[in-house]
Amino acid sequence: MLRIQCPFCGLRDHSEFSYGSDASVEYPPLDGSQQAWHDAVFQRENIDGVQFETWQHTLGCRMWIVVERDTRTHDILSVRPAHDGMAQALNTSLMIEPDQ
Amino acid sequence: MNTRRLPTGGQINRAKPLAFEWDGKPLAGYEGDSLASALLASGETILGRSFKYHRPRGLMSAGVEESGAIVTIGTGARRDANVKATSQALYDGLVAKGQNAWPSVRNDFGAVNSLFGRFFSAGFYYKTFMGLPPFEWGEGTGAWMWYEKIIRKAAGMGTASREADPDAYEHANGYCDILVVGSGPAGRSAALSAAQSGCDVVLVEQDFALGGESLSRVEEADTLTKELAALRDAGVRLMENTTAFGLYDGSVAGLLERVTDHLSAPTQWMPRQRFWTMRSRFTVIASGALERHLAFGNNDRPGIMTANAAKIYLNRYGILAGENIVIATNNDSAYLTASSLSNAGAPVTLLDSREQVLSSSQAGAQSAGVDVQHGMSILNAKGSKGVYSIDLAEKSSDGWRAKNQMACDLLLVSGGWSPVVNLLSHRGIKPVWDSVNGCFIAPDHHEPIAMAGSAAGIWDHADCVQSGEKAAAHAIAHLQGQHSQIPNQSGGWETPIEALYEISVSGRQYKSFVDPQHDVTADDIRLAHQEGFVSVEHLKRYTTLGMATDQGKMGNVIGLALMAEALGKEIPEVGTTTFRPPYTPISIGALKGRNVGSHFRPLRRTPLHDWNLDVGGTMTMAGLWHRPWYFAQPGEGIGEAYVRETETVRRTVGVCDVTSLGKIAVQGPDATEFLNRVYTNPFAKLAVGKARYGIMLRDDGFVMDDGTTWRLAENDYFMTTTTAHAAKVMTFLEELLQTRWQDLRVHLTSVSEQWAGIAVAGPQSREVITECAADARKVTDSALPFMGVVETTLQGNIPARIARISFSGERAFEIYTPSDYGPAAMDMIWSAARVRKGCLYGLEALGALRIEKGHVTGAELDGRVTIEDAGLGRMASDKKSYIGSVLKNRPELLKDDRPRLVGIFPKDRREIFNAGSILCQNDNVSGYGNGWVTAVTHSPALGHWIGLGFIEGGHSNWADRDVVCADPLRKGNTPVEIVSPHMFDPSGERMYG
Amino acid sequence: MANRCSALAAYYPTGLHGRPGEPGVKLQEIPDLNLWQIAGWPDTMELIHLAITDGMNADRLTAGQALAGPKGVAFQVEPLKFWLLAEAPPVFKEAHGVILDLSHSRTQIRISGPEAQTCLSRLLPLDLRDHSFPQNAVASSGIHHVGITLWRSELGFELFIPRGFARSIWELLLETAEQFGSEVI
Repeated sequence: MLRIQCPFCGLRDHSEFSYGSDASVEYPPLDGSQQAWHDAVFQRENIDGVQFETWQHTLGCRMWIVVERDTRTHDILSVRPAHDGMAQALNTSLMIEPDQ
Repeated sequence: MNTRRLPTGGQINRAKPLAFEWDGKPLAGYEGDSLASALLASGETILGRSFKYHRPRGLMSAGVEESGAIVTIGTGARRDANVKATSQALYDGLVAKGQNAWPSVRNDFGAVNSLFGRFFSAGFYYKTFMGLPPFEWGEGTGAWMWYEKIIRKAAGMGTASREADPDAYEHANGYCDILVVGSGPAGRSAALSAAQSGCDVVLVEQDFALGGESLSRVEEADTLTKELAALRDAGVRLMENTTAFGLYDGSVAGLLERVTDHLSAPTQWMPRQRFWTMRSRFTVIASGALERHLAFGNNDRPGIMTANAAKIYLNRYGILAGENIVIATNNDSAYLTASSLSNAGAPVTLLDSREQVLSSSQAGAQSAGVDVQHGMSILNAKGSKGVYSIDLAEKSSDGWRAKNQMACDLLLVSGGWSPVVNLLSHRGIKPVWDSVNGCFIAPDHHEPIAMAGSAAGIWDHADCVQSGEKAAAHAIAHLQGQHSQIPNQSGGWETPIEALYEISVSGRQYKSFVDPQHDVTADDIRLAHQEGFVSVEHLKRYTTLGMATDQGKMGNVIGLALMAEALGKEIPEVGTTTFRPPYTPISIGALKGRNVGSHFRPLRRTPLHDWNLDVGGTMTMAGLWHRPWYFAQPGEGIGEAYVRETETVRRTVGVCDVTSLGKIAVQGPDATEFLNRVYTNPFAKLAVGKARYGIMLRDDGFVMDDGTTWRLAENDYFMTTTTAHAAKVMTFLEELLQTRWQDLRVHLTSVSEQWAGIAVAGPQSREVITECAADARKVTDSALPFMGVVETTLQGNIPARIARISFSGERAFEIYTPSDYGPAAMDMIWSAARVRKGCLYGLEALGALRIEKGHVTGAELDGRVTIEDAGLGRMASDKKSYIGSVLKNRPELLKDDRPRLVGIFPKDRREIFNAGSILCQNDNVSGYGNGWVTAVTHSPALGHWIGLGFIEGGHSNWADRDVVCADPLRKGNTPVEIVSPHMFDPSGERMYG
Repeated sequence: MANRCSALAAYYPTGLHGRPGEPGVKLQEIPDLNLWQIAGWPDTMELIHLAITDGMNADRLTAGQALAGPKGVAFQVEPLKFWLLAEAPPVFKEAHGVILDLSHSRTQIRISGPEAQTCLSRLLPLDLRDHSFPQNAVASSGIHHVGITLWRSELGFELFIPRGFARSIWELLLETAEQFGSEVI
């Protein structure tokens, strides 16, 4: 069973998470070209190695996260919040000690 | 085999005799016995019949590798087939039966199969029944299906009970620093030293008694109790009857705890078994080693078992398994066993295939009175229901030579030891061949796992204890972030093991079993090789070697060795098959835990659930929800009930629980912008106090969901989704905000559970609402026009959100109150509706009302439908961009002949047709047809059956053409007319009025 | 005002169940939940935090930790969301965040007694050992695929279950607790 280090909740079973998709895809603007949208929605690499994936902690804090995972070994190399603002907010609260 | 229980000795409680039944015969054993030991002590020798040949089988081992004594335990609904008698604890009242035999394992008609043994070689059934003359006409067709049923009956194991399992099972979640598998000397020392260093340790033992190897070592019996107490004192969590059946990613182990399988009268509230998901940070595998057999003639006869098994029966159970014993070995381990048996009073002959061994082991055995013969082994065993004599073989310069016969009643075999590396193998680490020790052992690896004791190929007792301590030190270092490797420590015998797997002499043909449980013989292996199976994975599948319930624990290594020999290769070149979980079989019940019956899925109840039931509602599933289906009056079935409900809604007023709709709070300064990007229609200018129907597409341009969104305040929206897609929509919207549109300040929260929803529909709905509202002025036509929203209170000061929206095509309102007030609000609304001759209506009437209006739901929005296909193209704005707006315009999706939503009438208005039928031109019923039917209902308003569906090009394309609704498996063809989907009140006067 | 109707109203078998003797697990619904959700923005979380902890002891809320004060109990449930168990909502500027009344969305069940931790571990994939989940620890997870939130108060484990699933999970809890001897209070 994969276990994922949620940046908010800590180490949890993958059964609490839902897989999203390829985190390396950059979605075009809503009025982007049909080709750009086609590529973003349908073109996927089948990576033999390290890839970035989005997951959602659906049965937890509902945060979307970016997981760096090796598809050969299932090793998870890093996890970060997908939303930069959330990442920042989490870091801030981590930096302040409880007694301050 | 003449057995006797010795007057003293063993780990059994002689003060506590237990009665049990074997094949209808009452027998007795003691507390601490396994079923196998109790049967052995009772003199029962034939305990099973083999898989293919129905040969009589007795005990072959004393553990999980057992391939002979496979029995059925229990009766009725609690009948449990294929239990290994060797690992089943005896309890008072246990009922066991032999299996795969008729009328009994002692006299089995199926044994006639063994007369035809030479026909039953590897691949026999497939070769014979799948395409060889005279059956070639049946190749790949029904003939095999027909034969298979008969073949399956003849070959097989026990029969499962057909009754529902009456026992409860449960899941459990465990967490620890270090998981130790096995309670033998290595496991105990690892657990103790880890726990004394402050680690949280769990130690699991598959047996019903803790101790492992120590249970059968007389000299350790006393210290074991003290050691176990020390482990408990150190805080180790000891779990007996618990098998670590698999190791998985993330240092997770699957454990099966047999909670009550060893009890004669378990209390009803205990689960029978517990399926543990154990998350450790490090695993020490001290799972021991299994003694191997040797392949020789008739090596499966009752009265032939592993040497170690005899030692266990002697020292753990106090049973001398024979009175005239021969042991065949190729390694040192049998010497101690030989001495113990001899000391217990039986004459013992030890045949060691090795010509020379170092003196100390030999001296020990000889001083105990054992007759040790070197360069000798065994060629063939005689006696079909029990061994009475053996043919000896003597080593010669070019192999083996037949020697004299010798009488014996118990033949023990030690063909070497296979460390149990299965759990490590589950992690994808292939064991490597250790030619010095004649076994597979763990290679260097980087998993948080250490092997200890004989599981690491360490044979000496003191070395095993020390390897446990080393493993613990390694584990602790790992927990502290230091990474090291434990060097290979395998070995410990004075004289090396000899590579010996099979004893045969040319010209003498015997059945020589490699995998006794699946009746795979040495000749089968060679036949497979002759027929071109060179890969070990193919060999396995062709011969079924290692595919029985023991998964090759006894026979795999011999099979590989024979294959290597046939190929002229070494064992490492042939490789080994991959071990997969579970290590020993686990019941389906344990996998499912408590999630059975009414808890198969979690049931989702609306706040009005009990209210609906109290007034006589019949419920139906809608996803995880239970929703009212219809409310039958006396004498009504579903057909009458929903038609009456539909009519009543159109005539006066109906009330319906619509809580299951998904509800999402959309809050924040950018909420409007956000909604405008996800809905196809404009939301930028929706006024506060107004609702709007909206459609969402997926990125690929197909429709995802529809629903209404209410603007409660400047930055505060209340979105509803369909029941079916609520979770999917929520997740997708969260994804958009957290990944793509990080600049938008919008918060989403599911409020599906916060609000009870009640729809009030029909010409008199306004009167009902007015009567219930605390302030009637808030719900007048002008205060609450079509698509108006008001936040107010009902009588009794119940907060409520009311919108005038309609799914039924009637004037209608949706009222939401906080969930805990749902029943009170419903009481009030229902009494107001009741006096107006209104009704309660359920999902069936809801469906009829919406089909009449051509409103789409999940049945139509199945993920393959574009907004144009659904006839909602007017909802797709061309003045803005939104999710899916680009890809919905792919050329393929713009074709005129795409299936479009249509209404369907039967040509003959008296006819009925079914949802799921396909629509075809004329009587040309072929392929996928030209369209399909998504929903049908009887329409009280129109007086006949109607349907919704999709057909190529839509209504205009088929208006005057002959179409049949084809339903070949149910109703046959029904001629139908394709009409506009808006079948009732197309101008919407009733809804707006 | 109408009375609030509990999700467990139709099935609340008070008394002792299962294994006889001193009950190992006690189960109790805490009715009439008052639950506010306050959500901030990445740059206003500090201010929201101040508003919520106003009047509580000056301790700081950290992820996974509840803070109990005279005005109520607060904890963070999502990176940008707090829950406040209190009768009155906190006061803060509209620009700093949004508030939502979720009082009816969850059913609160208290599980206490010497075997409460063991009982919950049969259902919940959380590390509830004392050092990992001490008093005031908070976590969200799933029971039988239903998202729940757990807070360890000084009185026991407080389980917040989505109201629609409460009865179903309640039944599972009661069934599981029988082996320890249970009492529904």
